Amino acid sequence: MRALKPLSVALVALSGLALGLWAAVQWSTTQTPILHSGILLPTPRPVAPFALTRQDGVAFTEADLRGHWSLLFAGFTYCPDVCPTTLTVMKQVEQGLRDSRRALNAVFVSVDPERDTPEQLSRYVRYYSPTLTGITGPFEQLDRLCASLGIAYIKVPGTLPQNYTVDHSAVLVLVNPQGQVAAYFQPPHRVEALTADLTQMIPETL
Amino acid sequence: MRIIALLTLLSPVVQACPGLTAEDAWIREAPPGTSVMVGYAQLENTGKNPLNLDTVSSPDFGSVELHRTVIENGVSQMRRHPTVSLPPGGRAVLMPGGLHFMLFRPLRSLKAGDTARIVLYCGTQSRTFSFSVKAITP
Ligand SMILES: [Cu+2]
Repeated sequence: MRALKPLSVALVALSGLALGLWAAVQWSTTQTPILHSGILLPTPRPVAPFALTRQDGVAFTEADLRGHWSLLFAGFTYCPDVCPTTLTVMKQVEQGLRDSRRALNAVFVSVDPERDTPEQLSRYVRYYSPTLTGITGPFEQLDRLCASLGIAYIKVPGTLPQNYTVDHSAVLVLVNPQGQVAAYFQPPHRVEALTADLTQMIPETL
Repeated sequence: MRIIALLTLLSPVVQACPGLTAEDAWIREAPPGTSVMVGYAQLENTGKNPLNLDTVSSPDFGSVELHRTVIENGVSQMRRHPTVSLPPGGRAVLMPGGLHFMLFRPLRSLKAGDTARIVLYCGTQSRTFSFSVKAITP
């Protein structure tokens, strides 16, 4: 019996530690969502001022990222493979969240303003979703937004001058209603995983 | 000319790119006004000899290139892919986010339900496949 004493002390100590850990996990899960398809920023980062234009010609600035949750994706309309897939996922996520009374503003940032005229951008976003917002503008302004979002892009020549392509970050960026970058979602983008993650972060408002 | 035509008629039909098949051959419908589209298919070499597909063309597009999408360090890149090599029994799956036919400048409006022709070249031979235009996105 005597030999068991140190063991029981250790057991009590261990169970105390386990209880503490359990409490810590409980606390953190109620405070911070655990994302399955993304990375949550410990400290959300503000989006610096920028001035771009929507597909309908209306100005779009950092102020338009406040007051609601936004999910942004950078691409270009001459991107027939990756961009349509991502935009379709975004549309389905937005619809799924709306079904659970959550609002999400899906934004497509064209990093190819030379080819993506407002008319081209308008036809493109309307085709994918009536609720999708398309924005673009001068490179200097795009660079400001992309720097805030942590998005990289670069023009790469093709076989013909007009056939160039644009390498671009495949990430989805979540901006909170304070206009701050809150989370990143890495490809491959899956509707179910994204919807589950965003459901944890976005409260019911609709 | 007449002799050549006659010889062509008399000679047995030469199977161009023997054994080459394309299943689930489809083109993703694009928003109106878009001058670049994309095609996918499952290619298989059911023949006895290796096939190297290095050239693609189409009577329905200004030009066609074989491309591959890769995501490197989180950055999505689209590059020309030189050759699809199919050993006997070999398969190549062209699908969204990977290998694809990049279709530049459609020569007519292509909507879901339409079909377009894509010509695959194996050396000096070629075979034409019919691709159906679909609006689906996975
Ligand atoms: Cu391509």
